[in-house]
Amino acid sequence: METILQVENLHTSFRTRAGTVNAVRGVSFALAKGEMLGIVGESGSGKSVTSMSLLRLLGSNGKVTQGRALFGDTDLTAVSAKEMRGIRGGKISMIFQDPMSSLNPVIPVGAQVAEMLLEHRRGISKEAAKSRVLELFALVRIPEPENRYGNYPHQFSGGMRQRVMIAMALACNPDIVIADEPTTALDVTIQDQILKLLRRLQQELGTSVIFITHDLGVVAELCSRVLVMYGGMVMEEAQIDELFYSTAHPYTLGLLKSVPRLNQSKGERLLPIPGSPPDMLRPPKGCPFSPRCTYSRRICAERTPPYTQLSGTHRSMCHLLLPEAPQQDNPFKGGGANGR
Amino acid sequence: MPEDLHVNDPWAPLEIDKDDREKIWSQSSSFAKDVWYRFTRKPTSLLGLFLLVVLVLFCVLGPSFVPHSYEVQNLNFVNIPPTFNVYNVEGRYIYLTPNLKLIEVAEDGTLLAPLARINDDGMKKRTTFDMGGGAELVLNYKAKPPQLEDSERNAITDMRQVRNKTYPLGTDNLGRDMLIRLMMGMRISLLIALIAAAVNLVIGILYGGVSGYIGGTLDTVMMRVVDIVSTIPLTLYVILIQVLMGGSSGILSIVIALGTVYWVNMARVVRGEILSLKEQEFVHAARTLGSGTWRILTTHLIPNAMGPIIVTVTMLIPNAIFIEAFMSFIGLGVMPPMASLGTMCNDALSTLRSSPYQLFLPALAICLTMIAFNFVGDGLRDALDPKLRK
Amino acid sequence: MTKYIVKRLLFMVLALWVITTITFFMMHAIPGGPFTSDRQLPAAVEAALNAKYKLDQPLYVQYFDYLKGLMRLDLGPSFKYEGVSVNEFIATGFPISASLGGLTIVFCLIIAIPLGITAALKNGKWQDMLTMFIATIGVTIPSFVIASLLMYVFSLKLGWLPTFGLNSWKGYILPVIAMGGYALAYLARLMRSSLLEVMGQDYIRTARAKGLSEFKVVVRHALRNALIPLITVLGPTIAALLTGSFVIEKIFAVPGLGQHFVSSISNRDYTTIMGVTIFYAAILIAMTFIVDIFYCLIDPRIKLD
Repeated sequence: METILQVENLHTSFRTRAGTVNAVRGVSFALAKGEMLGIVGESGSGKSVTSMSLLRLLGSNGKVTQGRALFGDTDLTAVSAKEMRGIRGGKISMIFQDPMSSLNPVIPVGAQVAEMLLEHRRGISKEAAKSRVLELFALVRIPEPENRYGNYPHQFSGGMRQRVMIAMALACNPDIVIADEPTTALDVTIQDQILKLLRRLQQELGTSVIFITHDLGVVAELCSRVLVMYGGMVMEEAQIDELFYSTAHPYTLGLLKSVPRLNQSKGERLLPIPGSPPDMLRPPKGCPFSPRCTYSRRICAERTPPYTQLSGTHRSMCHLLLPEAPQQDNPFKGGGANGR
Repeated sequence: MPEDLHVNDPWAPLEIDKDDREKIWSQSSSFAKDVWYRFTRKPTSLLGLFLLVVLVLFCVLGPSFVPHSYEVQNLNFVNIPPTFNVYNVEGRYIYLTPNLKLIEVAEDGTLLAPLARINDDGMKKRTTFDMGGGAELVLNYKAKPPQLEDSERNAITDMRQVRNKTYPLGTDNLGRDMLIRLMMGMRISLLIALIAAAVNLVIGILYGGVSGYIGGTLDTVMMRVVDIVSTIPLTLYVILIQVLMGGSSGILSIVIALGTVYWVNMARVVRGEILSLKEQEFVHAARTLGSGTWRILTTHLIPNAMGPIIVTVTMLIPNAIFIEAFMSFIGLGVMPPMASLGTMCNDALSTLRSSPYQLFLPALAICLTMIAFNFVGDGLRDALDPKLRK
Repeated sequence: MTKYIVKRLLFMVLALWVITTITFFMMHAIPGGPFTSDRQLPAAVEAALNAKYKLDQPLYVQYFDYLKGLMRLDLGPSFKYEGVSVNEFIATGFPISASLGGLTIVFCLIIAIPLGITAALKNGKWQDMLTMFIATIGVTIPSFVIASLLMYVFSLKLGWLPTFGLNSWKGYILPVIAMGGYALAYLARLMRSSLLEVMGQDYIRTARAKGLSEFKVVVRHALRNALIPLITVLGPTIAALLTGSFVIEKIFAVPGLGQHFVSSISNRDYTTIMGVTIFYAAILIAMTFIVDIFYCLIDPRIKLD
């Protein structure tokens, strides 16, 4: 499959009053054409910042400090502001988390989606733009598109608003759509609808999608491949099956254990991962997950682990996978899968 | 493979301090300390606070150091500025007032006595003054500017500038010392403002508290009343009340006027706070414990609403000062001989051209006071709720 | 929408009636009549005057008479100036005050809005600090101080501008600046904080993600939202300008309504005081109403009920 986006060693940091926050510390991945890639992580893991870095939506105090992101032949981190504006919405678009606050409250939704077209398709007439918007509304299953074209965001329910956002993102037939937690702010039943819609659209249009979420269950349903991020780095990258059945990272293990399963027995407790995410002002030396890892060793706090390639599509960053790692208390070498 | 000490084994389990895991990455401190910290971070707030302290000390302690009284008039020394030019006439220093009178001044600037006029020739525009001991001094006011002449009709030109030692800030149009009047005026202005703010505070808190807590129809009615009252600029009402009470009641009438009309802001603020607070858990808990309405209001709700209340009060004060000065300016203020900063400004208008200091000094005092309170109020607002940052 | 308008109109009438009543009874509560104060009048003359102005009637009769007069838009005669009615005072004075006031508002908006926008967009940089510092000063210095200072510097010392009157266009400059100082500073601050808040919103990020230039983001998306709070504040601003006019007109000897009002206070001309107060109240109530309607039209989120 053709690679449409190649991110290499991306580093992003923010200047704050308290110091420099290194939110993304060496992230690399590839996105294939037509693929739905999931990025999973907690708040503060750097997953959103990674995607914002691609479109340079970091605010005035954020900057990509290292690395590159090749979109075709173009390095997104190095293009001019004018080129970037053409790419945003035109070639790569984004769907944000909270549709209520992400839509301008005083402009009708139809106009907001049409703006996308008027901006990127020079010479398109207003009528043509409007009819295209109506097509899009139908595509995302917004009922009575004609009537709803002139409505304002507050006149829609949460799920409907997100459909508007999706329509907006698809308006110019972008190559890549980045969906940043698109269903987190919605009810579970609506969530399901939106996810189904996204999957259908992706299959119909063949758009490549980067799907960012903290919910492993969603990833399992939608994505073919997953990145697990923590502390600004990619912990594990794998195909869905590999991730769930051949898990190769303690953090992923922890995530899987903490998700409730239908076939859980009644008395079985959910195991949250103890502790809280690291302070990115003073990122820990070594593996970012080591303070919370039940299997951590001295070496974990001293050195960042290298990536171990477990298959053509599966890699993981953990010392315990290395050939010199001991077997004792090592979940990946058959000893003591429960750790301490 | 080193089989030695466990300590050096990189594969030894990592000892993690449990606290490290849950570390919260900032220090916690008490609410008051937090507020103070945020307050002091802003340079304008500190400046305002400093200014405030200086001003209060100025008007409270100052009068003890000034030998003059604020109401004693000295018609000999009318409209003398803080610094002026004196002519050197044979070793004695003579000051020519804007009213074309002569005053003898000591070398260090102390005012001595006016020179008596012997006669005035209106035709030639010359006045003769008595220098004592038979000597005379002539003022020629035909010349522009007027000049003093010696016995040979030559202009006396030896001049120097001296500081007014008797009245460091000059005198007003009735010969009263500006410095002491400034201090007393400031006292009055501050007093009026503080009392008005206190009255507004009490009325506003009670009204807003009751309205917000009881809610329902009572709240709607009370708020409609507030709406009606506040449709009019409160200044109009203050004026009307002042007219009604007659100007002679001075401070009392101004305080009543300010107090009856400014509570609306405070009432609205308090009501808003109470509305959002009363649904919180601790209020439900207190009610279940059997606390009465009054108790809940006073011990639970109002203390928690203190933040916005304090900010509103701090902003009420400069408003009140402004209104008082404004009223004095249109002639409805404190009655003489008492002076507030506003009346001083008003009095100074007529002599603006010749004695601008009479306006500038009280105006500066008003400005500094208002700046101080505004800066402190702004700082408090930011410190008490960082989410409300400007 | 119509229901809302009707409700508001009723409310306005109610408010105006309350104010009229309060003002009426306050004026009549002043001890002594308008003619007993300064001049020593022989009793017969005073009685005749009282009869002429119907002051010898019982209070409630006078009250209803006054209300009836109001319905006809007649505010009664002036007590101090023979043959002149309050309506005439208003008719001569108000246009002047209104022109001054109108100019001031335009002046304020023209300057404050760009100033606030610049300060917000250059947040943290020197343009921001400078603007905010000046604005803070403008808010804290009372208008009459500004007026006196300006007059001293520009009229008395430099002689560039006239000290009083509105005879030439030059005469308008100082009063407008003095009157507008506070409002200008206040509006600039509000514009800045409002725009800053809007720029931090998610939909601005969305607008950028659409590939819009920063200029389009600010003008098409941010400003529309950021200007809304300024409209809300327009009502009280007009009120403040109105009261500011008392002082400014006095200092610059502008023969507007404000000056009439102030002199009627010192003259104890009660009917004029009453009449002008009610007139001002009516203007303000009407202005607030218009601003509110405008606000509802601008912000689609407001549901009228």
